[in-house]
Amino acid sequence: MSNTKGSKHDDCKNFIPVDAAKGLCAWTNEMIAIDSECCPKFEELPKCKNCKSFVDRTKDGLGNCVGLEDKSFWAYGEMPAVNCQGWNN
Amino acid sequence: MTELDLQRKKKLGDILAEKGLGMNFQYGGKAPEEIVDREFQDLKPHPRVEKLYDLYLNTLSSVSMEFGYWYNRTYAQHEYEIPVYRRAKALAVAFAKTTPLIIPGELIVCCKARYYRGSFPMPQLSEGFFLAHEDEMYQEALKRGGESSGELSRVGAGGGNVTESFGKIVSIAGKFGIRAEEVPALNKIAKAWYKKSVDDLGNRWEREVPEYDLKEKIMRTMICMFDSGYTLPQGREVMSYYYPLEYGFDGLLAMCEEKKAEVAGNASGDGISGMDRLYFYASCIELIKGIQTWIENYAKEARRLKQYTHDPKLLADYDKISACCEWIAHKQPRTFYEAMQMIQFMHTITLNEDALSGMSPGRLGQVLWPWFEQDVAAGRITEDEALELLELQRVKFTCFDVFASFGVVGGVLSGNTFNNLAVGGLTRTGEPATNRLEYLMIHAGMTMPCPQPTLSILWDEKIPEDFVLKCAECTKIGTGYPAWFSFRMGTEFIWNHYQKEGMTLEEARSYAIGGCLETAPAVWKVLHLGGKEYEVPAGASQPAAVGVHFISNPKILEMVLFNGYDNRTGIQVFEPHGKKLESFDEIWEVYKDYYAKTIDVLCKCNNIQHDIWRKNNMCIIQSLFKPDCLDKGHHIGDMGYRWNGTYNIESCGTINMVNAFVALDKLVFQDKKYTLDDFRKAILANFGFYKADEIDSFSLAEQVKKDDGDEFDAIHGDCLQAPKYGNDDIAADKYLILWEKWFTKVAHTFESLFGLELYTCQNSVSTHGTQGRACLATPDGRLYGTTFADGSMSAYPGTDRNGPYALFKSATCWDQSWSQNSQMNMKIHPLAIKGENGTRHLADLIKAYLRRGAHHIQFNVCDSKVMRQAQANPEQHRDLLVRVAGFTQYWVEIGKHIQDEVIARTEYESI
Repeated sequence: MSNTKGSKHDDCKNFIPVDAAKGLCAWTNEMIAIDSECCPKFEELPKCKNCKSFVDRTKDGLGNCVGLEDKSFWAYGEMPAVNCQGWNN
Repeated sequence: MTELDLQRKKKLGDILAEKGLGMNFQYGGKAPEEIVDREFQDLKPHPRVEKLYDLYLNTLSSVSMEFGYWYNRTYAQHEYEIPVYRRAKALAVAFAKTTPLIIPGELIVCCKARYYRGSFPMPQLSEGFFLAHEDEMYQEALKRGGESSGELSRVGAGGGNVTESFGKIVSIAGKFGIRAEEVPALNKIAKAWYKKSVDDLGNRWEREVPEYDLKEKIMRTMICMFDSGYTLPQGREVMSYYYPLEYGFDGLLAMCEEKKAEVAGNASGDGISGMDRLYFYASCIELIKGIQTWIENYAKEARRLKQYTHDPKLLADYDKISACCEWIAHKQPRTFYEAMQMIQFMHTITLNEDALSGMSPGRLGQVLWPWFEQDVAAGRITEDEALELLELQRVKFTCFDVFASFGVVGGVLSGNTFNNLAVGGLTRTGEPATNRLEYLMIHAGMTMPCPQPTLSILWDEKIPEDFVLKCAECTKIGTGYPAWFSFRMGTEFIWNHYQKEGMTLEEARSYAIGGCLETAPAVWKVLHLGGKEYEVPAGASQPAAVGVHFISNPKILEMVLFNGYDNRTGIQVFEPHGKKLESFDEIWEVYKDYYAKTIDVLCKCNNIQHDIWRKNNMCIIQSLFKPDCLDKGHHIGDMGYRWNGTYNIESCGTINMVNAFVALDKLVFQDKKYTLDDFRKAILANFGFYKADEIDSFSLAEQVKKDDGDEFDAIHGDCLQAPKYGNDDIAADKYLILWEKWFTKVAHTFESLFGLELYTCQNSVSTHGTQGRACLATPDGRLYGTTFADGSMSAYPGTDRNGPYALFKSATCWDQSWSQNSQMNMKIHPLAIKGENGTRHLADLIKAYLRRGAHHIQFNVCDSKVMRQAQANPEQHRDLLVRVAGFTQYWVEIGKHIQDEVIARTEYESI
């Protein structure tokens, strides 16, 4: 369980995205809107925005990733990092 | 004009009816007042399929940047690598990193992106659209502060298309939704490709063609509407699933390693490209590893999802998925289920390489037969279980979206992806190729009616009659599939065309349909399973429909009549011919001259676009899958495929052109009733009618006359009453013969970038709507902006007055094997073919047409009143399917200009 403040459903590990607006809660199998309020079972999904290697963040949600072998490349905070070997929280 | 104004004015259909000259929108009787439903509407898919399909119907077409991000980052990282290897690395990392998505209840998994109906932009092909809309999208993204929670029920009019931004979703290209948070990433990636994309580089180099200025004018005036080199460079072809199905990915890895060692440092007598083989095999190795990781990630995801459920059925599903993915990431599939899952991965992988449509499974029932046969014999699967898998596959394929610009997605494709699955045909040795699995595939098309895969039957006299009747039953459900093809005509075309590349008749028999109606060559490969050998077909050609697309035939005639000048845009397109046009022959000569100039410049420019594509954005995935790239060590850009002469010229509006020729020749040169100037004046005045766009209706009968429009009544009436194609009237049909004899032959005088001659392709997809809108009134009486007749052999709506057999005789007045295809659409009222007798009548009708030497026919079995109702109340008809040109699509996802045309097609009340 994590702090859900400022989070949306597609920031949660238990969320199965269906489209850009909604998805399924893996626990309940119910359809929920991505932007609706998260519940206490919220578990943070690895994303660039919650990685320590995501630096120089801008108001657009962009920043730089310094955690992979190319040392530095721009990244966007909302990208899932489930399969990123450099994700570091 | 207000709605009320419109209602007060007279429509063309009413005017003609008053004069006793009604257009014939019904033939063979009159439909009953009440709506008649289609047969077999009580068939249902398996419960789990129904649930997933319901989810699909409520899913928005969505894009995410994940795949594209990893592709671009890796591509940048390897800036100084050999281009093919650089691209392979980028693709491999993108596959390995993209988050897998499994929806509970799925048994066949794998999505293009992390959405159920997901896709992603590929600015490496064309970034101009995003940059043009960058600020607009960015501002839209900034505005998106609202909650999306109230928007779950937004699906309705427009189906799953995100036609407008809402909540935190930004609409792109009038179809796709993207999270506002991802728009800055999209813009960033698009900017990185500025002046580097295939589109930009292609444009830079095509300007070197001396006649480039003409090409610009041709595109701006919509004489042609499609640059194929950077929009949809692959597709309209048949997949080869053979290699991973035979060897497994580990086997392919070993093969590539061995080949790489064999060719490293050896030119083997080929001083130009012999050395390239090393880089190709190394690229394949990288790519296979990325693909294997992607498949394994799905296994992991299935295992992860187990934590959320105690439902034993769901737990069993996840175990089955993970075990399957773990196995097929490395080995040859052992069971029908594993083979089906392998197909899903391979198909999705292919779709993720390029923006492409028409990636067709081909004769999949014959490819999968070994697993089905052995599983059924061993009791590992029942037919009902196989049917469920086939239904699941239909939903997964329907989820595929192709991301391209609005003009391509809306104007050409109508949002369709054209994954064509063919049944029937003959084996290499000329025996019927039909098998029991193909029966189930047709049945799955009935129990799970949805657009993909669309179905085609390759009909031959030897195909068992009960199979033909099963396909006719499927046609009656009203989804528009299967499309019916003459196997003999297809084989004739294929063999004639590819003999130059060494094709034998036996090889020609392996062909299938790629995309809508594109006859696409293949080969036979030997597959081993359970100690048995099978011969299976495998696609082995370049995209069977790239090149010069689509030329508006009526628009060229407009150019002839107006001395090369486009009145709609005010552009002088062609050099003025300056001729008086004193005979039809003279018109025909100028017509051919303008047409040939059009092909010539478009062919040269498209060759350059495709050349840039093959150099900078080359295809590696299909090169890995399709014969004979692995044998040759060359990707498709270097002619690694077995068959390479696939480039074509696509036309649009043929029948309006034919009817226009008839009217001009008769009224001006034979009867001398009008002068060409009379025609020009009437055309510019749109025969006294409003433009279609002004009244937002695109079928002829609905067009509205201006209050002061009487001046052109006589000439318009004569144009409409002139003989028309589709009535077995040689006075009209002779112009079709004239056209086809020239068009199909002149194509061979043009050369693709592969140094091979072009051929003609005659299906309009959706361009007859878009290009109709750009075309003034035509001498056949058609009005400005109205949709052309679809395809190439369908009659113009309301003009086929003598019944289906007369239409068939008109359509087969020329040798259809000269062309890659032809296209015939018919609309039949459900009552006309009701019951078992109706099914037989339908099958007999089809066979009568195909036996006459036709290439193709397909049907909308639907009461036109249902379509009118659906146009008025789209939200009540989310799942209504119609056949447009060569594809089946949701009514609510096609544009109004096409809807109007489908409604207007002549409805046969009896056959």
